[in-house]
Amino acid sequence: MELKEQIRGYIVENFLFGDEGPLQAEDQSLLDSGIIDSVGVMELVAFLEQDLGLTVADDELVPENLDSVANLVGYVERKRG
Amino acid sequence: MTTVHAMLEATTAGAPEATALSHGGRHLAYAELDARAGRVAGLLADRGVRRGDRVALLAENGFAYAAGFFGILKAGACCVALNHANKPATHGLLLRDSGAVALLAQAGQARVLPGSVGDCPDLRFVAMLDEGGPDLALDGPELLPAAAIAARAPAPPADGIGGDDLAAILYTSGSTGRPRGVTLTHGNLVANTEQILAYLHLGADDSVCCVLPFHYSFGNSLLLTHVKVGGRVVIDNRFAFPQKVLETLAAERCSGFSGVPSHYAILCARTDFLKRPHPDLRYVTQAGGAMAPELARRLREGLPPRVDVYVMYGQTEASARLSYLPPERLVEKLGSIGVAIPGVTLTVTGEDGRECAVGEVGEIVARGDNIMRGYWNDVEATAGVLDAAGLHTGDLAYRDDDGFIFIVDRAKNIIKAGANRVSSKEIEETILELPDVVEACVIGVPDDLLGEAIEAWIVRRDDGAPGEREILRHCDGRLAAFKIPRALHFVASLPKNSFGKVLKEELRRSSRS
Repeated sequence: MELKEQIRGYIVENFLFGDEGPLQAEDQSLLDSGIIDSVGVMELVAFLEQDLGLTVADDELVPENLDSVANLVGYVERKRG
Repeated sequence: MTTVHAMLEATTAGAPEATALSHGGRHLAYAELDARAGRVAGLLADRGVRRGDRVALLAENGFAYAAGFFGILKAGACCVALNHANKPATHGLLLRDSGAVALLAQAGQARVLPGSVGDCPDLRFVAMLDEGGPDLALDGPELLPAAAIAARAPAPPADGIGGDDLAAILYTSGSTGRPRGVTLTHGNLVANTEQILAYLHLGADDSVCCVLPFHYSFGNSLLLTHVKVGGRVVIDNRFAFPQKVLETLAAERCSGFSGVPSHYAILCARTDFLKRPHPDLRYVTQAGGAMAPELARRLREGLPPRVDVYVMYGQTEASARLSYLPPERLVEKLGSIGVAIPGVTLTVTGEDGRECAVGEVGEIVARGDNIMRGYWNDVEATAGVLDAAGLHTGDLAYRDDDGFIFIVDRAKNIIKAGANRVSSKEIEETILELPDVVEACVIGVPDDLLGEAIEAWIVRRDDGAPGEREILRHCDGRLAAFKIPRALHFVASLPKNSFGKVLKEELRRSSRS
């Protein structure tokens, strides 16, 4: 599965329970849209570490890496080099 | 001083140029905050809002919230602080329940307004607190743009408001599943502010990094204590990215940080909080649920010794604070909520109303000028917790030989997920709305981050439907995100005692195994 679809699918399934409606754009802030909160970010990190095999450093927990589908895709691609 | 807004006015008179609030690199002086609040009060008065009227406030932490809050009080009205995490249907329920005549909203909340205000017969108008929202059309109340407030000259505070006037209604979950409006007077909030200052010793040089929402009693107490002493509240609403908050803490040279247990769990697990030198930090405070003793120990050992660690306890019904553990006794009394704060009396009482002996478990009963007047329009629920002895907290505890209180159990049917008090009954009733659900039982199970995580145990008419996704989507459409179960268990029947009461402890054991 394409990385973007995998990340998007996780967010829709885990935080929106299958309802794609609220997730309208790839660059939409997940935090400002109320899709995730602080605990949700921790779940997102667990997904990145366990399902995508990344090691997320503490200082990488920033919106530039995690706060939209586009930012997540870019972050994972950079980490994978 | 008898009113909450008089605290702001006194500080403004003494230090008008001092910074009251900082947010995202912007700073608001006391004089400016007081003037903005005066504009809000002026508009409310122009529009016929009178002493004792309820005015709702829907805003994230920011300058707009503070101006709206103090403006409502200056107008002589009572602030109904809405939780922006709630769904529009819940906003509507609380607007109707409180009989709010007006709603002040931040532009960022505009998208939920149409679904919130439709069926609120008492609500006469909605006034926007700031610019930048989308174009709106509301079915019902009149909509006033932000310019209506901005263009109004600041008004003086309404005459005749005193300590017995209602200042705020803060809604909280009750064991019945219906939200309860905790009614707090000016006298309650001023008293608790002074009680907190008596042990926290804040001054004009103090500034707290605030990640707690102001609509929540703990967050509200941070705002009021700092306004009272002329200190500064540094707002950061991005705790989802905790490293950002730590950058704010350092850059703004905050002297304090306040959080609930999950904040500290995340800071310890996912940031360098315990490795930083924190040159300006004087203290951290924790309330909003029991913090695991091990986490308290980690904080104490990891933070510089000069940083005081305050473990505290309270309830919305007590304005905010009831007890604190003196920092120098933290390690010795690990797991304790400490002793009553100055001006509050806490007793541990048995079912017969007598005070328990040392080591004997009873209910914590609180007395003080900070205790609420009662639940809004709910005489029965009020009588269930308030009587001549004081506020019955529902928390079961014992005292040790030194008088320190240790909580052992909490009121039944209330789950403490993060800082949120969640009614298991409300969630059960929501799940039971689905036609093929026969029974539902919602419990809290231990969770490293949240303290308790919500689990639902469900009996369906037939296997397979409704499925997990359907149930969670149903909840998501009706409940705030923090109330949605983290796990669902489908079972053929629920364990019950001979009276048919569900044995929740058995479900908790099954969950662990």
